[in-house]
Amino acid sequence: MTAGRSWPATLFLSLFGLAFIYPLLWLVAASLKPNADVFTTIGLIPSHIEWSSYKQGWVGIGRVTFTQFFLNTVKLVVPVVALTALSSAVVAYGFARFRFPLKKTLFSLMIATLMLPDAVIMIPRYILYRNFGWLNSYWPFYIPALLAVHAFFIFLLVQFFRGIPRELDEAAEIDGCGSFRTLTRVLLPLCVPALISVCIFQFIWTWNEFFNTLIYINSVSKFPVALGLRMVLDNEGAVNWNQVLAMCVVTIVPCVAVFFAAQKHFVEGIATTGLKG
Amino acid sequence: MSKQAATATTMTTKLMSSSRSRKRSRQYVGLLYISPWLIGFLVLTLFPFIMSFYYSFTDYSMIKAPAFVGLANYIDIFTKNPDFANSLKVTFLYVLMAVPGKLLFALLMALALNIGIRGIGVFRTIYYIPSILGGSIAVSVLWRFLFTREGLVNTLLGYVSLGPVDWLGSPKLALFTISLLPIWEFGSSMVLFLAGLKQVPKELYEAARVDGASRVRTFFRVTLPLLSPVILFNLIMQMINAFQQFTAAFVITGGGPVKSTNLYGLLMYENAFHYFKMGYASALSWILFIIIMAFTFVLFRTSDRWTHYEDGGDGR
Amino acid sequence: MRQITKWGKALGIGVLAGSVLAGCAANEDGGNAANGSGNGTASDGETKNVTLRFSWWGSEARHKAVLEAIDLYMEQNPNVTIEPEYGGFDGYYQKLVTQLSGHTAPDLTPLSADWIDDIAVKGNLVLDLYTLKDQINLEAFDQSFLEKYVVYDGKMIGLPMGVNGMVTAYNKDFLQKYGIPEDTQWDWNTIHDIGQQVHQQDSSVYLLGTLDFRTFLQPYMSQKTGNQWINDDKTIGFTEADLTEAFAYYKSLFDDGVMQPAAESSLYSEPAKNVLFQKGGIGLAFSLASALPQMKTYVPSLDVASYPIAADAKTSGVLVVPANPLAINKDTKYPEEAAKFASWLLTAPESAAILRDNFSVPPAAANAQSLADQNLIDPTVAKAVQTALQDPGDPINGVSNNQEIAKLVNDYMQQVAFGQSAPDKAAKELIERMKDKLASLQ
Repeated sequence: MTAGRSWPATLFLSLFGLAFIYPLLWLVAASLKPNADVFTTIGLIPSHIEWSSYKQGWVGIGRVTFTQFFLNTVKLVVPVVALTALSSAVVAYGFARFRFPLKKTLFSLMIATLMLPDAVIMIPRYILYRNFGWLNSYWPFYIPALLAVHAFFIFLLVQFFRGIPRELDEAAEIDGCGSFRTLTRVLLPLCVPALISVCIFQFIWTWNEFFNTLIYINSVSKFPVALGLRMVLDNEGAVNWNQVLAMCVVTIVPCVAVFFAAQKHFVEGIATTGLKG
Repeated sequence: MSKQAATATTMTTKLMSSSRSRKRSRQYVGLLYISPWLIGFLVLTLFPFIMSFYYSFTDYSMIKAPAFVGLANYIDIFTKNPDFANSLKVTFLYVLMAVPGKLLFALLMALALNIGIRGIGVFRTIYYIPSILGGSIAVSVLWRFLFTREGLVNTLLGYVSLGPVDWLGSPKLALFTISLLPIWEFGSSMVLFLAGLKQVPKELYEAARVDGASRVRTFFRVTLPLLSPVILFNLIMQMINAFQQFTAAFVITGGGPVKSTNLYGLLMYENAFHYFKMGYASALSWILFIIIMAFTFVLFRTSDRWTHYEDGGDGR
Repeated sequence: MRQITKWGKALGIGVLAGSVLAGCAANEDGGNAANGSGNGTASDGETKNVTLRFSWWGSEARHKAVLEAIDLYMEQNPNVTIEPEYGGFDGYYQKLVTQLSGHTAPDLTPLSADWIDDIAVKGNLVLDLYTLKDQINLEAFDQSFLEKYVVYDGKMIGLPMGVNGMVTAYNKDFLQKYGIPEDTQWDWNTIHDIGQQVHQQDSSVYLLGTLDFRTFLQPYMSQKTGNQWINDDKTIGFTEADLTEAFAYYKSLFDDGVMQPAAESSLYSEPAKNVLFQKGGIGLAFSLASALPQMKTYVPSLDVASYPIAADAKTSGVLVVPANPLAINKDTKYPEEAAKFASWLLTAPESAAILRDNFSVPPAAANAQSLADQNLIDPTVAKAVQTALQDPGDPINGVSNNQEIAKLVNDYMQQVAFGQSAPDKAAKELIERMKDKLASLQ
C-alpha cells in the first residue's frame, strides 16, 4: 500500500471516526455546561465549566451517594467477573478436551442456550431465587456466574482451546501433570487473551446490567450505579439535565477505562476466538 | 506472546519423543469439569424453561397461584390482541434495519481499516468504544438527547436551515432513529470482521492479482467467501439480540409514539411486569422463541450454500 | 382577580379545613395521645426491637423530608428501626408487585390510585386499617374523606398521605401576552376557541400541550354522562356516539392548533417535562396539585384555576385523590408498630412540619391549617387543592382505575392524535377492546 493511497483513507476514517465519537464527546462537554446551555449549544467547549453538575449529581438520592453506588457495583461486578472466568474456563476445558457420554448433545444444548430469549426463563428464575431466599442480595448474580450460565463465554473459550494443539496438554500429562494441572499450567497461560476478553465482556455487561438488578435488588443502599443513574433519571424532581449527563459520564468512564487498559488483549481475544464461529 | 511461544515449542519437542499410549478413559473427568455448567443448565435454565412453557397455558398473576387455562392465552394473542401483530411487525422492521445495517457498516469499515493505513489501532478503538457501552442506560439517555426535538441533531440541522425533524416523535421515524443506535455500535462486529480479514492468506490475494482479477472481483471471489463463517456468526448473534431488544426502546421512547417502537420485548415486559400476566407473557415469550429458532434454523440451513469453511467446517 | 395568592394561602387552607375536613380541626393533640409516638404510651413496644421497612417514590425533596421524619420517629421510639427504601416512580409498581408475590415487600408503602384495585381490592394484599384503629389516630382525618377515597368494600386500604386534586394550571405570562383574562371560566368551548385564536396569533405557541385519559377523556366523559368510565357492574359508562364525539373534539384541538402537534409532545410523559412548556410556549396544563411545584421550577408565574367544567355537565368530573394512600403489607410481622408509625407520620404536627407539602396538602386538617399559617406550604399547591375541593367529582371506582384499560384508552387517544384513526373508528375499536378486557376481568 502506497502512502499516496492511504492518506485520503486516513482522512475519511478520521472524519468518520470524529462523527461517530462526537456524541460521546458532546456528552462529556454538555455535562460541564450550565444547565441552560445543554440543549441550546452544540459546541464541545462550554461557555464556562460547571463542575457543580458533578458535585450535585454525585450526591445521589436521599442519603445514598454515588460513592455507595460505586462500592456496590464493585461488590457486584468483581465476584461475578472472577467466578465467570473461573467457571467458564473449567467447563470449556471439559468440553474441549474430554470425551464423555452425550457430549455432542450437551454441547449443542449449551450453544442452544445462547439463543434462548432471556424473557422465557426470567419469570420462573425469579420465583426460584425467591424460594432460595436470594432476593435483595447479589446471589442471583454470583450463582449463575459460578455455574457458568453465560454459554457465550464457554463457547468463546472452547473455540480458543480448540485452537491450541492438543499435543501440548498430552505432553504435559506425560510429564505427570493431572488434568487439572494441565489446565492451570499449560492451557490457561496460553489463553490469557481469551480470558481477559471474557473478563472484560462480563465486566461491561454486569456493569451496565440494569434489568436484573432492578428486579432483584430492592434497597437503594444496595443499588449499583446503573440503577443509581436510573433513579436520578426517573426522579420526578430531576430537572437538572447537566447533572443527569454528568452521572451518565461517571457511569460510562469505568467501562471505557477498563477497555482502554486491556484493549490489546481484548481485541486479540475476540480476534482469535470469535473467528471460527 | 513470546513466552507462550517458547512454552509451546518446548512442549512440542517433548511430544516428539513420546508415544500416545496413555489413552485413558476420561469420561467422568470430563463430566466433572462440565458439572458446574450442567447443574446451572438443569436448575437455572432447563427447569425455568419448562416451567415457562407450563405457565404459558395458565393464568398466573404472581399474586395468586397459576390456574390452567389451556390454549386461552395463545388464542387471545392471535385473535384478540392487535398489539401482538403490531409488535411483531415493528420487531421485524427493526431487525431488518438494525442487523444488516450494522453488519454492512462493520464490514465496510473493516475493509477500509484493512488497507494498511497507519494508526489502525486508534481507529479500531474509536469505532469500538460505542459498542462497549451497548447495554448502558447512559447511551439510551444520550440518544434521547441527540434526537429529541430540541436535541443536538436538530440543532445541527438548524444551522443549514433544515428541520426540526421529529426523530422520535413521529411514528414514521422513531423506529428508524432507534435502529441507528445498534448501527452506531457496529464496533464489535467490525473487530470480528477485521480479525477474519487478517486470516485471509496473502497468497490468495497474490494469486488473484496474478490472474488479473479486479479489486471488486477479488473481494467477491476471495474475501467474502473466506469471511462468510464470520458473517454467519455475526448475523445469527445480532439477529437473536435484535429480536429481544428492549432497553433502548424502553428508555428512549417507551414504545411510542402510537406503538411505532413497541418492540416485542416491550410487549412482553408490559404484560409480564406491568400487568403481571405471567402466563400470557410466557405464551408471548414462547412465540418469540419459536420465531427466533425458525430464523436461526433457516440461516443455518441455507448457510451451507453461502458459507465457506477452510477446514471443511467444524460446523456447530 | 378575586383569587389573590395570599388569600389562597391563608384562607384557602381554612376553607379546605373547614368545609371538607370538617370536624377534626380542633383535634390537634389527639394525634399524640393515640399514636404513642413519644412518652411511653406503647409499653409493650418499648421492650422489643422492631424493624420496619418503609418504601416510597418521589422527588429528591420528598426523600429528604421523609428521611428526616423517619429520623425523628426513631429518636422518639428507640426500639423501632425504620429501613427506608425509596426511588423514582418508574418501575415502582413492577418492583412492588414482584416483592408482594415474593413476600419480600416492605411493611409500608404508598399505593398509587390505579394500583388499588389490583393490589388492595382484588389482590387483598394489604391490611384493613380499621382492624388497627387503636394504633391509628383516625380522628385526625375527615371521616367522609376517608370513606370516600380509601375505604373499599368496608376495608380501609391505606391512610391518605395528602389531599390532592386536579386543576387547570396556567402560565400567567402566557395569558397576559395573548390577552386572555386570568379569570376566564375554562370550559371545553372556551379552551377550543381561545386556543385557536392564540395559535392564529402566534404559530409557535399552543394553549395546550398534552392530554391523556386521566387529565382529559375520563373527566370529559364523566361530565357528559354523569357515569363512571366503567360502571360498577363492569359495563361501559357511555355510548359509542358519546365517545366518538369526545374523540372528535379531541381531534379538533389538534386540527385547529389548540394543542401542540402530537409528534412534538409525545415524548414527554408530564407537562413539566415538555420543553415548550418550560420555555413558556404553552398556556395551560391540567395537573394534580402535587405536580405543581415541579412545574413552577420552570414557570414561576404559574397559577391555578378550576378544572374545565362544561356548562351542561352532569357531574364536575374534577379528580380529587388522597395522594397515594399509605398501606400496610399483610405480610408484616409488626402490624401495630407499622400502624403507629403510619399514624404518626401522617398526623403528628412535628411530622407534618417536616413533610410539609411533599405529599400535597397534609391529610390532617389541623396540620394543614398550621402549615398554611406558617407559610410552610407552597401557596399554589394549597390553592389548587382548595380549588379542586370546591366541586369534587365522584371518586373513581376500582374498575375504572384498571391499568390495562387506562393504557388502552391512551393508545387510542394517541391514534386519534396522530391522525391514524378517525374518531368513529377509534371509538368503535376502543369499546370493542374494552369489552374484551372487561370480560377477562371477571
